[in-house]
Amino acid sequence: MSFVVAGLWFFAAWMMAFFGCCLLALSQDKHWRTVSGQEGPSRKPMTRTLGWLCIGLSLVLSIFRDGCSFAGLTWPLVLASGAFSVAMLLTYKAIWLKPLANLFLVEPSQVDHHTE
Amino acid sequence: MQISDDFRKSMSWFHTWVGIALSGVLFAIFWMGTLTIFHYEIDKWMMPEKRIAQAVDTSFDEKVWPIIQEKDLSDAKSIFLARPKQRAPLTRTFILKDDGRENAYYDSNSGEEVTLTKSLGAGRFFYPFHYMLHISWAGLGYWIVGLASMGMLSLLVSGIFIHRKIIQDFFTFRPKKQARRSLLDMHNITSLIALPFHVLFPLSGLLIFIFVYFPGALKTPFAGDRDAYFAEKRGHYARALTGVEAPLPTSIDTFITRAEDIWTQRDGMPAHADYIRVENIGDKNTYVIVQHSFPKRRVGSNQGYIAFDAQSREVLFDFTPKPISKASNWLTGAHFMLFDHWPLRWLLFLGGLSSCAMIATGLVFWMRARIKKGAEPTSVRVIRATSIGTVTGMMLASISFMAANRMLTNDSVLFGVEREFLEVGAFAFVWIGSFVHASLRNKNAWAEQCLAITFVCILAVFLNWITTGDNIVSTINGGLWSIAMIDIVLISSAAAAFFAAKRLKQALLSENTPPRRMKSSRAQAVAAE
Repeated sequence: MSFVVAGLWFFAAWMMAFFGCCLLALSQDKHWRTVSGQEGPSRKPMTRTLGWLCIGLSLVLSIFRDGCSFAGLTWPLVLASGAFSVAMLLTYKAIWLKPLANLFLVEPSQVDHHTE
Repeated sequence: MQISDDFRKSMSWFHTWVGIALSGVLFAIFWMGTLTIFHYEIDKWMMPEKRIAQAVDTSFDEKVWPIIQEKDLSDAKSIFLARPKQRAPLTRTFILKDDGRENAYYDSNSGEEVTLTKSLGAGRFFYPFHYMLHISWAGLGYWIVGLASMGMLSLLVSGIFIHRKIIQDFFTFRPKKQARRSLLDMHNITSLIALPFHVLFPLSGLLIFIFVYFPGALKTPFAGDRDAYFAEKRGHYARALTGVEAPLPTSIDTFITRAEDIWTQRDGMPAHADYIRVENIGDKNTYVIVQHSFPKRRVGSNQGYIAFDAQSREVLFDFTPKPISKASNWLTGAHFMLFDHWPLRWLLFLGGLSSCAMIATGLVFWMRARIKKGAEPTSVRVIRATSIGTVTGMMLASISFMAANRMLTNDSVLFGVEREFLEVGAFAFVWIGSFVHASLRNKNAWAEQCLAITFVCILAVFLNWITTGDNIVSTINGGLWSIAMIDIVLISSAAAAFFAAKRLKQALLSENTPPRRMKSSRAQAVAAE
């Protein structure tokens, strides 16, 4: 693998871990409120499942890039740095997650429907 | 599972008091360990002779081996050769004689012997600091570190039990709430998120020195024979002298090539021999051992060990690690981090910083809790001075150690103390001084020591430029990334420490409004290398 290709694979694994953590954070009521400004349910199972899928995918990408032996070290750390970035983003620039949250917005009518 | 309040209380008591007892030594261990990740690069920075162009696959036969053969080897028992690598481009050799070791370094390109700057560098100061604290008396340093590692593991477990909202607060950091809240948030984030890292390092560290801590482990499987264990783990071969004289082998490269071919075929991936030993010098039974101790493309250490007869070049012994030792070698290899994987090295560096941040925030959180409970002014002063000296003092002292290295020359002597120990003296002086300063200046000391870190970081970059002519522009242009990297880390640490100092000052000025202390102690942890 060339230097650039190896770098891209690594970046992909990191991005997947990062998106996975973003989605898991959005599946939590508190963070969902901060980001979307909406109260109440927000396709929680969907964001949660997608989040775990992304995190799983980042493991697959890590193994693909380095093999199991290295992935055992890289993946937990990739995941940790992704999660830390999400925590900082939620604290200081939560608005940046808004476009992602918009994908999972529930129409007001549907919200009413749910709560009934 | 329902955790009873009683259980949580007892865990909380344990976490607090074990944490307080060990936080100082744990911070020192993790801080020094984090610096050790880059010990080859820091050594290049402190010993400019090591800043030569990379010569990874240089032949021994062309330059270095002929020089060694010409030496007086009449009472030599064995010769050790460490192959140059990208991160440590000099060829290191030592000749084991009846009356001790004769060390030498060679420039692998020209074959010239290199005299190194008289300094312990990171390899002989930061590195041993993190596993034995430079206390060699009765092995006490190892025992303190071992105890601290066990303590760290138990702190992680008890910490999980006392944390009430692991899931809800996983991504939560609230810097705008009161200082104690945000400190606790940061303590939780840094510990939970990097939990695998925090577990792996104390655990693998304990495993590396298992027979210091747990000599009984050898009793049943190896009948107490330590050598038998190591033979099983990384291979061992020896044979007796015959008394018949014979010349040294003329080539070392042939053995390396043959060993690498054997490993490449066996593992299906390219192998790179790293250590070579020639044993029974001058005897007919001379043999050559080629080792594959720290592979480039694997985590696990001790992947190969082949012994050849020096005359006939026959393979005498070929060691393959057994499955169970592969598992323990993975842990050992992960701790040594000598593989070729730069993104991983940086991630591990961040992991180390997060450990430091976790320990520092835990300590400061407890300190503020004590102050809030209304501890006496004298004890507040003592607690605060200890915390400040432990955290910022340690950082300041390590950078001062590097800066002092650039201020001294090989013939610097002060009060009969030579250069290498003057550097250690600078470290000790600054470290002890930081405690004194903190006890005098009390609250103000946090910000002032952060400012001092900024100053010393910039000073170190500047001194490196003056004494070696290497600055950021020239090192990047010349591809000397190791030095460029250290300069960049020093400059960013200076910026982070300056930012932290500013924040801490503001927090002091507005004591009544909730100070944003948390952010700053995070920045302190990032500050410095």
